[in-house]
Amino acid sequence: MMTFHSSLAALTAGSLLTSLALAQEPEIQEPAAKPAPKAAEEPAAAAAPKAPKPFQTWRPRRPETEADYAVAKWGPRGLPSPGYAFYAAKILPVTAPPIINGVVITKNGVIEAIGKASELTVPTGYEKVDCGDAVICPGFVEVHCHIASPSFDLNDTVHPTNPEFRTLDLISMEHDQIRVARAGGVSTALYIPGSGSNMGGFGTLTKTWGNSPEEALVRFPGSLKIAQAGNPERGSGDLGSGMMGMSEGIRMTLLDGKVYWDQMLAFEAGEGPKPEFDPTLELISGLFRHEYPLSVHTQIYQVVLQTLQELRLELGLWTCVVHGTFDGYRLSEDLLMAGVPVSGGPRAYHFDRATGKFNGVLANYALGGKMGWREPVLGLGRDGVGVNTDSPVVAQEQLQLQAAMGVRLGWPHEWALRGLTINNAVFFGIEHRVGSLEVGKDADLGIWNGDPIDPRNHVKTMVINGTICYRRDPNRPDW
Amino acid sequence: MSLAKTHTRTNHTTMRTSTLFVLSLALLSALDLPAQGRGRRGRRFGPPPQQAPAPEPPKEEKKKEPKEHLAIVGGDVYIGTGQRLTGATVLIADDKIEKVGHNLELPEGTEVIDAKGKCVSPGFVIVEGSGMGTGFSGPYKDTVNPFDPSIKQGLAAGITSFLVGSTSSRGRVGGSNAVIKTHYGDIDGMVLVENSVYGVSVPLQISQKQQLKDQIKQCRDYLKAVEEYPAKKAKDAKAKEPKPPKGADAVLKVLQGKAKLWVSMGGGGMGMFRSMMGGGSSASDLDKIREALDVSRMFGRGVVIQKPMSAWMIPDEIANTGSSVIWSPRTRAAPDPKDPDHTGSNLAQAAILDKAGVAVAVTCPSGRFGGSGVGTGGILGQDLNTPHIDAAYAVRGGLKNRKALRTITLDAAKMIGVGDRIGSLEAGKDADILILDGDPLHYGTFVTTAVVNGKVVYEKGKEALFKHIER
Amino acid sequence: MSMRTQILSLSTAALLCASVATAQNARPVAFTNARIHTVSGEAIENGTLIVRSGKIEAVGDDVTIPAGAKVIDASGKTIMPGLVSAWSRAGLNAPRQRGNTPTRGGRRFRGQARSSSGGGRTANKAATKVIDGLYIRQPVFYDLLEVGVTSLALNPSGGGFPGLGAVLNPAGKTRSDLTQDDEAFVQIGMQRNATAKKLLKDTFEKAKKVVEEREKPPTPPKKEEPKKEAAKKEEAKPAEKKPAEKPEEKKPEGKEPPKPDGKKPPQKEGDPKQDPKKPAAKPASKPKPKDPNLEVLADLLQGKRRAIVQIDSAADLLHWRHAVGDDVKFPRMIAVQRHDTRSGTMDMVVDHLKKWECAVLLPASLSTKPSSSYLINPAKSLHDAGVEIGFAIGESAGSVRTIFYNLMQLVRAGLPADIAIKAVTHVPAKALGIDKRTGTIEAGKDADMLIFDGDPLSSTGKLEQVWLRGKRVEKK
Repeated sequence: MMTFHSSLAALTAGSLLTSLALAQEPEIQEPAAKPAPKAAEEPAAAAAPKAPKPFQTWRPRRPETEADYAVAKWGPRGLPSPGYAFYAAKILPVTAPPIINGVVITKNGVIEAIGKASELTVPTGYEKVDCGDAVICPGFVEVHCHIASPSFDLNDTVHPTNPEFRTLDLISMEHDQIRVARAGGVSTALYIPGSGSNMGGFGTLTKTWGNSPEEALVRFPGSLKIAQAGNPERGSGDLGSGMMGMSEGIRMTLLDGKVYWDQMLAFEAGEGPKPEFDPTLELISGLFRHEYPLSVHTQIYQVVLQTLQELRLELGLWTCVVHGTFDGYRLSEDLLMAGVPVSGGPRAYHFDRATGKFNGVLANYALGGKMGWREPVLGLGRDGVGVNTDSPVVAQEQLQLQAAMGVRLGWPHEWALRGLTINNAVFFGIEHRVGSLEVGKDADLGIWNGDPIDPRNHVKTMVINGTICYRRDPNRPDW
Repeated sequence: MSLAKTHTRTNHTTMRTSTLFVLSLALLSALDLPAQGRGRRGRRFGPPPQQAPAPEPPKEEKKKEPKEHLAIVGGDVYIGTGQRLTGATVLIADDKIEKVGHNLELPEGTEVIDAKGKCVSPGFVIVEGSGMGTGFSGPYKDTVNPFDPSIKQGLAAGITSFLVGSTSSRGRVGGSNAVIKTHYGDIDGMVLVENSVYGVSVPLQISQKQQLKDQIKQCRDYLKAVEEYPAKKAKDAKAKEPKPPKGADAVLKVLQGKAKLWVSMGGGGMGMFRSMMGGGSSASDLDKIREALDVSRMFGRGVVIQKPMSAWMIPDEIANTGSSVIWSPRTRAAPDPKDPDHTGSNLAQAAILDKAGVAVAVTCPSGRFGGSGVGTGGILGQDLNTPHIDAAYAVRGGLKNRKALRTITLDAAKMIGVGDRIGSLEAGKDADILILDGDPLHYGTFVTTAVVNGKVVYEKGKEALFKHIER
Repeated sequence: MSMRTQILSLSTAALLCASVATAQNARPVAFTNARIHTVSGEAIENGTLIVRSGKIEAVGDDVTIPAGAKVIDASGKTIMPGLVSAWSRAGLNAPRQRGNTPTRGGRRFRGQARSSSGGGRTANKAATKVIDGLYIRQPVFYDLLEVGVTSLALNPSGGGFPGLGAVLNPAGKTRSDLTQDDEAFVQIGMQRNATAKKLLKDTFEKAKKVVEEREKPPTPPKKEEPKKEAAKKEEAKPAEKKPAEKPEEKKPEGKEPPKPDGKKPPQKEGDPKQDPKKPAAKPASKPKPKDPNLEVLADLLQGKRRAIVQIDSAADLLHWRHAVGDDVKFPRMIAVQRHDTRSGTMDMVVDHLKKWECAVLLPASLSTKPSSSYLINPAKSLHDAGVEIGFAIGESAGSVRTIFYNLMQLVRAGLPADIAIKAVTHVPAKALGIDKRTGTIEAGKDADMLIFDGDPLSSTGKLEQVWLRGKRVEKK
């Protein structure tokens, strides 16, 4: 969540600087004289085109398997579910080419097989579900969700930083919004605290359906929610509302955790005593183990730069930018080089007051270009950009629309589908479970009546953990 | 006829010749089928160029300007009624549509816009708008700012007309509003009509309802007296001309069909968070809708019901009164868990209403980032920068694609009282036309050219807004 | 010395000084080798300028220097006419900030500029004189003179017809010295709202009627006109009626004032029957009392006066046309207080401005295309289209000092230099009606001029001397 006004103030400052820079060499713009530079244009002939670098999330200390996680708790897999064979005219695995007239075979919560209907045999006893003229794609992964619980106290701001808080206990599967989220095609959600304070607490990765919250759990912690600016200055604690003061809180708290982790490592290497157990520091140390990332609510160039420098480079933490809106896209190349992914939203555009252009945030992050710099910058590419809703700022079930708006302003359609699914999963380290239709992954399927990004299309059937949890009634659709 | 006005200035001696001339011209123009439009803003409609000039015009006759023609050729034309013509031509004369069809013959001097591979649609009509050259209140014709940059944004979104102002009034029929066009740079072109809509909010208190009934009766009596007055006067020269009842102008206009009556569901709105967080205390406004239908029956005319939640439950009742509905598809109200089948909102509402014959117009969600404006600080897809998305959600709910276009064109125009002027590409209507680079309701479609009152007022390639985005 | 001798010597000394002074006045001054912006013609590169008795006697590149002249070698210097400020409220009672004070009851409309006439309701007070609100002992006048303003307007504030503007002599110390012309121009303020538009429309129509009356051939007085006469008499009797004919208020003509006895005016011919009436034999030549405000505007429509019309944006201009129409013509200059990108800068309506055939006073600055930072030069656009432009130079010494820097920017952005100079001298002088006397360097005009070291439009130019009416202005 973010404030309009403070972001606007900072944005105005940034834009003012930009326009002053422009004003020093007054360019009298003749109407219709020169065409404006396109976002996807090749860089100017003078500068040699840079070789695009594929994006990789920076996370060097990643544990090998789920069992190697020392702090994080993983949810159950392979819960019992009936055997199904879903037939559809088109299947989009996302990490593999589309399959025409395909079938996805699932049982006990996982995908057992996927391929052309003519080439696969369905085991006996499995129910055949003929979806007809449908498109099956993975369930969407939402990484900035505030609605997985009916409570509305996500912005507890008891202290300037609140790493003691966690959303794990707030999750419920029974309320209206999550029901509609399922109907909107969302199967996994990272439910995080708000950005009322600089450090809101630990968020939880959960499925949007389960017989109980425990069964629906994917991983806790999902991430640590950090807000660098844009809301916390509404007044949490007594550290003052400037950016320096806010950063101090974040940095000091994290450094406490780092100290704890260093002590733990020393102990494990036999070089020191075991540090006294502290549940909060334990959780923060998990960040340094790269078991889960930071979800950083950050936006505008200045603050995204701060996120990059302070959290990723200085503290060496696995960091994800979860807003990145306004003109943060000017840092696309820096983020690419540092391996910091961006899941953009809810604002799909940034109106650039200097040029009068509607800039597509997701398009610009992905494609790079001449973003007000003298030379074009590289973009995060196909694998570095995801999309989110920041629900309820945009209703959770409208995650599809967010992707559509990104595509409208220039984000390539195929990249947008990845941005809804596998990219978000990779950024948060759950791609071995969800995000694409591959054998062995969770059976989270969205069965649509057409292009899953077009808001005119709906989910006919939703499958989560191998269970059909939503069948659409055209006369009374959930969504 | 506007022609008659010219002759008030002529000398008396040439009156007879002029009268003859007028009559012959009137005859000739009556034979001319397409371009029978009202002349606004002083335009003279003379006979079309292909007709031979008949008698010698008197010297005082003003030189008639030939019509300026503009043709949009080769696009897939969505008429706005549901009909679609592929590869057709829209011919515009001055500020009106002259003809729509295949292989039209274009008069000499016609400026041609090539729309091959593109879609042509009526300009979008927004039933709840703000900004785009208007201030907070009327009188609009004296305060419109035709150079407001947000007009260009509205045009980029496809908006050519919108209703601005207040359309609801507690307990009585009232309101102050106008239908404004996004005719950049032209004051007269911007104000289409003032107060074509009056509103009242339900529930009405008993006294208010009684007052309304009384007013309707008085107005009906007045109208009857007006009808009978000529006969009465013929018998009795001293008969006084009937006077309209005081304070009931709005009611009178509605009764005469000169204004539409909108009924809003008062008493507790559907706020963004309230609806998102599992519904408030009220998950049904069936009673209010029924009261609106009562009002409709009192007037003997269909009313426009504003944003009802539960209209999907009584489509036939609504259809029987000839009423129509304005609705925001994405504004959800959660059902009451005690009775989920009969409460809450329903995404399929537009489809259900349409099946029963009730017209629907759509609006965008309200709230902090939604709202009826074209700002530059909002969230794309939630405000008037993308009106076609709201229609898209009606499609999601089951309305056919082509029908859904009507929710932001013809049906919307009718609900704001200007269905005879705008909302479809038909001969005689105002030339408010969009050229789009794709299916009008596809999320990636942009307006490439917008025409208002027959003038090109927006071109995507010439405005900084979206020039850099290629489809 | 004795008292008598003291007085004698003192008076002799005084007489001597006086005669010396007079002699100095009469003694011509010749500037040689100067670059002279005459504004009336081409700039003279190496010219001579003769000043005598407050006037410019001669100017040219081949002028004979009269005998006894004080010769000043002005090589490296530039001489230009003194600045004329045609938009100023300096010296008014409560000086208002330009354009930022909202009118009473005026609302800030989203997407519109604030109505910028500076305060006060719209009204027809065309006959009031702004000079009546002048505070004479203010340092601002001399401050302005020091930075080069040799003629200064005083504009009334408000929308509609706030009054008659004046021209001031900034060196004046007394009211009469300050006031050059207390009725120099009619100020008109356009506002984009229904009341203002109605006021403008109705008032001009009434003024047109007054003009028609004036231009009608005189009708011989008739005896049998009791209806008209009686009506006139009703109006001519102040004791009988309520005080309603105040000159400041606009009164619709022809309306009968309320009668004390409530009876209708006589409809039939013959002597009126009411008692308070005097017999019809009274001379019918007693005219209706005229509304002085309308008289002023009728003068304007007949071309006997000139006006400064404040129109702040392209939208306001279109609304003016909408309310008043194009055929209401009178000598005028349009004054634009600031570039309003939200309501349209004046370059957007340049075609209409051409039709008006009048000068346009602009802010001396660049503007931007709407919703962006792309710079545009409205002054150049107007000039290229053939519209005569002037510049507002400011109301305080600080802003006037920067005018030359602003002009330099505008010239760099494409405006011809001579047009820039003309825009702050001759064009505003014409608008104020003082162009016969000042505003250019021509023989016969007052010697109001500025002497620069270097080029006034370069960043190294420096104002060295200001001359007003042939006398050098001393720095305080």
